[in-house]
Amino acid sequence: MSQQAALTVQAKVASEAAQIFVDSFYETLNRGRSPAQHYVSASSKLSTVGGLVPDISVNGRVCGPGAEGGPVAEYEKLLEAQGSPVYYEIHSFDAQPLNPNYVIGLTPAEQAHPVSSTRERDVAERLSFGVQVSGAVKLGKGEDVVEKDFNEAFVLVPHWEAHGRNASRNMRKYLIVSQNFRSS
Amino acid sequence: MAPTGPRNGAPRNNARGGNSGKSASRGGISKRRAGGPIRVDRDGDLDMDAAAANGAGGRGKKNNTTPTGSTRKSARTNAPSSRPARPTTKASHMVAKVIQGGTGSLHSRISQGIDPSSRHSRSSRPINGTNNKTLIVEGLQHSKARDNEGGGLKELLIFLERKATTAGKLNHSVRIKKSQVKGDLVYVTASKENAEHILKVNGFDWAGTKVHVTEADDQAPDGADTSSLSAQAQEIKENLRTMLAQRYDPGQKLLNLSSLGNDALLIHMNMFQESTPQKLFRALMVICDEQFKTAQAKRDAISSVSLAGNNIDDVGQVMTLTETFPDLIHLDLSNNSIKELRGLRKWQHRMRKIETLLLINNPIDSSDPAYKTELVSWFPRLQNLSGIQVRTPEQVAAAELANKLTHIPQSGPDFRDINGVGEQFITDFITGYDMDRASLAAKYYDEYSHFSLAVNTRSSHPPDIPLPQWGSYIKFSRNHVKITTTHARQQRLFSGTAVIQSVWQKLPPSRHPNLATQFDKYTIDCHPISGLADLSGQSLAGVDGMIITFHGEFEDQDPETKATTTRSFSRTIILGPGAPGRNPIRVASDVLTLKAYNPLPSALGPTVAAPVAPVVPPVAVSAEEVQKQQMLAELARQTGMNIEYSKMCLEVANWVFDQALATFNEKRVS
Repeated sequence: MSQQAALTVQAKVASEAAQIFVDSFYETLNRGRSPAQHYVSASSKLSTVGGLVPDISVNGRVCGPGAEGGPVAEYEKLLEAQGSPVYYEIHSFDAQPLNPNYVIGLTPAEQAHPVSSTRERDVAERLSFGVQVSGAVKLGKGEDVVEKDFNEAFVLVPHWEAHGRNASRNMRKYLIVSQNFRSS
Repeated sequence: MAPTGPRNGAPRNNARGGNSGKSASRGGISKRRAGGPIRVDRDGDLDMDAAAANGAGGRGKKNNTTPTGSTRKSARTNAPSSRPARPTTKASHMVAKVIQGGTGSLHSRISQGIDPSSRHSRSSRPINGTNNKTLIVEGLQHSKARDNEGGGLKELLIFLERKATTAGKLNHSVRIKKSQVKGDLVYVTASKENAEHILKVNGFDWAGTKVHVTEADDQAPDGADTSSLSAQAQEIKENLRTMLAQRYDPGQKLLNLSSLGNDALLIHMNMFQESTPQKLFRALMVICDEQFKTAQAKRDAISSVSLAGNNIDDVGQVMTLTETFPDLIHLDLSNNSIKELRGLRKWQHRMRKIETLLLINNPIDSSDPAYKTELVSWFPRLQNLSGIQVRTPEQVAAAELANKLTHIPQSGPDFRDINGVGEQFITDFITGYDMDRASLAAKYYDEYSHFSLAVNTRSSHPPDIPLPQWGSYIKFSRNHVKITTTHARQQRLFSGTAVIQSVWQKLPPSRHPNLATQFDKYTIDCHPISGLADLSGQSLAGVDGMIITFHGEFEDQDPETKATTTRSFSRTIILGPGAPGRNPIRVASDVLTLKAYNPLPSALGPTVAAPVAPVVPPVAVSAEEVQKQQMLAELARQTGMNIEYSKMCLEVANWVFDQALATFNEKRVS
């Protein structure tokens, strides 16, 4: 039963975090702002200690980790090349919990710190989750709008710094480690 | 007109009665637009800046000066029908306003130094909306104010508004929209809400008498007057149309509205005594707009407008130009009074098509020489600024090409497999999902696996394909956009082998295209991922796995009607190492999104070469293996497929190269 209870909390945390993520990520893109703060590269623990590099695949093109500025910079270049305005309209999204005890980027001491598997706050600090979004991306406006359907799958992991004490409120609580975009 | 208020030291209060100085400070009053007749300056230019001019005009004068039995030439040549056109509601409102000088000027309501250009939107609202209420006010005839200039009406209205505001203890000011003296009675029209407050003023003492406020039975207090107004409006409209027709040059597609202040017809019509230039201009724009059924017809007919010599110092005075002609290409604003960039600012984000803008002989030339750079940056197509070439057509074209909106291009599959695990799984999965879901779930899904599906009912689909029914799926749909409660989301997340088997059994039977022979119907991406839960419990840091996102189509059959439907899907499956004693590969997460059928973009079409370096086997390779590698490379080169697909294709063809190529071409054609 405790496993069921743990799953229930995980699913709740994943759904709520996904909601916040989807809202803010696409708003960032719709406003033409840089989405860099949404990626694991924004966390030094995840990127330096954990060695993570966001895996960004856009219509089959892998934004290379070797690119100058990393995958996020290349992704931003792709976004810029689209022109503006761009509007992502979300028709559907779904989220599932992945790893309830995600620890990459934590020190061994932090990893060993005991956490409750049913306490929502503890779960929220350690959960990684997957999101799949389905919608339409609209380029231009008025009569000239060009619209395509898109599907985007993400894996998000906890932003350690954002969960720590004295964390800036502007920090995203979860960061993208994997992103797969496909448009029609 | 500019926010600095009246110009030329025009007396600000000369239209007011004895108490004008006092009322000048009242908020309710100062909100109104300025009224009064129009000045024509010494050169005969229409003074667009006449806001604070003398307000001594009035209705009586209008009745004398505007002929009712028209013998004038009709401009109806432009009208599509020979029947006398009934004025549209919008146009008659506009024309009525022109005649009456709007709601304010008739009653000498003067706003002091307020920039009326900021209130265009308000003044273009219809006055006779259904939310209005008309009240009858008695008491003016017996009041001391009767002897004031204007008959005391203005003072009465001020009183009503002020007392209604305080009596209603309101945060906003009560505003009377329309008023009309009819014999001993005054009809006032206000919004329903405000009228209720004005009614409270009933019985108040004012100017030595008592004011009686009652509800009018009829919304239109003076039927005869209304209809004559509309005939009059009709006539003025005809006259304005005549003027527009005279000023239109079809050959040059030019509407020449220059020096309106010198226009003989307008002067003859006494328009400048009756209306403000802003209102006249709005009325002209409304009439222009009516001539065209479509935006395209408008574009075809008018590409140039001249507003030269109209004493404009802020384009807010002719704001409606860019609303009526948003695609204008040439505009002449020469010989006006534009002093600074601020006077043009309101058009900064308009006139996106403007190529020629003439500002010759405006004060801005000397007062702000830097304005040209700014204007060039505002208007992306601007080439001719006051006769100087600021861009070449090539530069405009190049900039537009650079700004051209292009979706991120397709680059073929991104299949970064590890030791063929992804390929093996996807083949097994698609077959298993169609043939035997229970066994598939038993093999790959365990008690920690999740499955959920989401229906996207808003996706696009080819017009010739009817929208599918979602009855068999919608009750399981976990689309978070629609399913917003924690409980409902919880219910629609299926975890554990048995639960997943059970829900899969309830979903209609499906048939996916054969992955090996119809791989053009799929787009499959995958790549390794770290940090998954380790079910063996050995690795605290988590284990590595793979994320596969694939898109395609399938056909399903409704269990009851037996009707088949083709649907599109996107599915993201996260694979990890299986628990000890189980299948070595497990599904941690399976998220399915269903959509109306819409074929995938050709993944095999012209692809941006994204050469996937073949994994070089570290062991010595046989001659056969070398030959296979060559065939792979050659097929990949000729077809643009990546190595994985080329390999699949060759395997199907038993490594007969020509056959593999033929299969590819065949599939591509189909």
